[in-house]
Amino acid sequence: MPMLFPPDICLPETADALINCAISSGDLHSAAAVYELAEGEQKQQLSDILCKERRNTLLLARWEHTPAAVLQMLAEIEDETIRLRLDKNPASRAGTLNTIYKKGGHDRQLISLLTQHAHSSSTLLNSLAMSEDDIPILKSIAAHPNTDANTLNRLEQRYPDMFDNELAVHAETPPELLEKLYQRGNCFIRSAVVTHIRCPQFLLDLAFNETDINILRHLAANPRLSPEKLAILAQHDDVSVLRTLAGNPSLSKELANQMIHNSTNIVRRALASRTDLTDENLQQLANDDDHWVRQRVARHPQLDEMLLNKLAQDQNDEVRRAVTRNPLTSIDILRRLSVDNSVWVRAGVAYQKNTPADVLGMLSAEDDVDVLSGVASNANTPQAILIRLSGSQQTDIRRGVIINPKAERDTLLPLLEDPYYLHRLMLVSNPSLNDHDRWSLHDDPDLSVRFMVFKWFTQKYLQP
Amino acid sequence: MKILVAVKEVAALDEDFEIRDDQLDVDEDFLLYDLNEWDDFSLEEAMVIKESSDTEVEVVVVSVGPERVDDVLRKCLAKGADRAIRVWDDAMEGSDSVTIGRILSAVVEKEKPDMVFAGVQSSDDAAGSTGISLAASLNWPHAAVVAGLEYQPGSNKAKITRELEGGLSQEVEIDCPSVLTIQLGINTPRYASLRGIKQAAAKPVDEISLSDLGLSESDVGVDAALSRVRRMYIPEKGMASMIEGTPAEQAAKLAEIIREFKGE
Repeated sequence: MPMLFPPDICLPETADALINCAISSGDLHSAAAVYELAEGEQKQQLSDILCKERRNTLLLARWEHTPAAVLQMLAEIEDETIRLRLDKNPASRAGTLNTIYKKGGHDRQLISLLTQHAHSSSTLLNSLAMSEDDIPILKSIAAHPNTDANTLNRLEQRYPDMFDNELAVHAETPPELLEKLYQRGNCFIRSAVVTHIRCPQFLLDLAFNETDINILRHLAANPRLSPEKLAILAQHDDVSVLRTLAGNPSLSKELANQMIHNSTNIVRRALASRTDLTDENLQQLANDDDHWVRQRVARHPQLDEMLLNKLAQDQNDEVRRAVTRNPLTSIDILRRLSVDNSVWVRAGVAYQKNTPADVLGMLSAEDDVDVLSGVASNANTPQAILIRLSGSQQTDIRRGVIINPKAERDTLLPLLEDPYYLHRLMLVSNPSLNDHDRWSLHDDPDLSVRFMVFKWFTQKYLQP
Repeated sequence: MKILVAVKEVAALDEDFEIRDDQLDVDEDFLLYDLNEWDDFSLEEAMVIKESSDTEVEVVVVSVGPERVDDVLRKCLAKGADRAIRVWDDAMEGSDSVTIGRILSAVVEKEKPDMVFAGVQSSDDAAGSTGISLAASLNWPHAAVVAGLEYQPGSNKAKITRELEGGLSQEVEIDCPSVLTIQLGINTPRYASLRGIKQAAAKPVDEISLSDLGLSESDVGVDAALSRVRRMYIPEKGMASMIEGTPAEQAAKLAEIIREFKGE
């Protein structure tokens, strides 16, 4: 098998060999990548590399790609600044957050960040909800998606009225609490309640008699509204209510048909996005004066050939481009649009997965970056063209080749030396390359690439 | 023909940084080092001249700083610079931009380039005066904020477009050799090729000391500087006001703020 690099670079065949390679390199990011694979003495040696200098531990604590196991290790270090960074790091898991809470629980900033972290456990949040008096912190807990219904109830009992905004939109708020919020809340609170998935039916019926536009608009979006009530709302004169109603999945075809005659563009645009329109509706909307309406029709998943053909001749290039992006568009139409006078339309043809190879070949002679990027990423593009495009000066075009699912190994190999680090990083996980190809990047000058290579092999050796 | 490009390794602040105990700078643990963005454009401008010239043009990069500065010099070599020079002596610690300009002028006297490029400013200290100080020390013509350049290697004149405020441009003819401080956006800096990076790792960086330049300790450092840092601190910041409420309420308040700004 041909190899790009000298054969003296030894591919580590085992987890042990991989870890030893990272240890002997002394490289921070390689060591971080293999850390979870190691045990005992090797793990200690890796820790020594990771924690050798404070600036490195600070860097790892902040870096969003640092593996969770490394973050957990860093949480054991007695350093307030590191704890703060771990608290902000989205990759920190619940266990790490619990550790930094135990070590630094007196720090207000730390606690505030914990109540906002996506991985904070419901146990931790419940504990903080009962022990904290700081209103902004309690507000964060009330807003946190992991806070459970019991905790929400207790918060409301401790401070009635204080967290109504957060409770009204929280997915775990129980129906009884929603009723309480509705009864005492302003129009915005009531609007949020009637949108809630757990809103009791009787509240929806009650809200229907409201006159506030905010409430009615939110109600119009609720798919649990009865057909009779939807029909009444369809007669409303407020355009925002109608626009929202037009997107309601429970809206009947009859009502949609009525609303198509609405004079307001935004209502018709919302209708044009529906997938349950009749052929008659589509015909009508395809002739709409508003090009955004016609554009949405052009993307319809059930549009017939006749209407696609008509819209392919639309005077607006956004509409013609939308036709190129529709998977139902015939090859004949794509061929016609491949010589459209708008480069944006031709680019759409280049990206279309049904575009045949000869059309892509013709488009590959262009010099526009958008067109060539589309050709480069299209699975139907002949390999010879991909090879040519892989040498482009434009990074977007080369990246198109890299993400092309049909790009072969020989096409991709030269890109292992691409000057843009992100391209080399993307190639690490490309299935067309083999382990020797990936390993050739293990000593890449860019830390992210080195990390990705060692991480890839770590994941491989972690497989049972 | 030779173009000398003065480059700087700048320090970028990591988040949650801490000030040093002496309050004169940021704790080094929180500094991330890289090539000054402006210098990337000046180097590219030199490379464009080199690659489009029929005559041989040597591009030499120079920087004043300790050993870690070799990283940015190698980055420049990886992008195609022919030689790299690093100037350092511990006595240079604390030199301000005027003093650095004086040091660089000594390098110019030694290298005798036909043109000198520098960045308009550095992204850390933002003094904006090193290139101009260098020109003053040399008593050379200079132009600042160069956004366009027409220059034939070996020519005794260059045509420059300078970027002014308010979207204005100024066209200037300047005698050469001269010092130009280059503005962002004059070109599109290249990425260093992987091969270039690997080759640059093995290339030498010429190290020059004070005595090599005919300078003494009294010419450099804190005592020779015309300005000295008294204190560095994080100023008090005002709190932004948060828009509270449910999403619908926040949207309504935001719309009201926008209408207010628009005077509606």
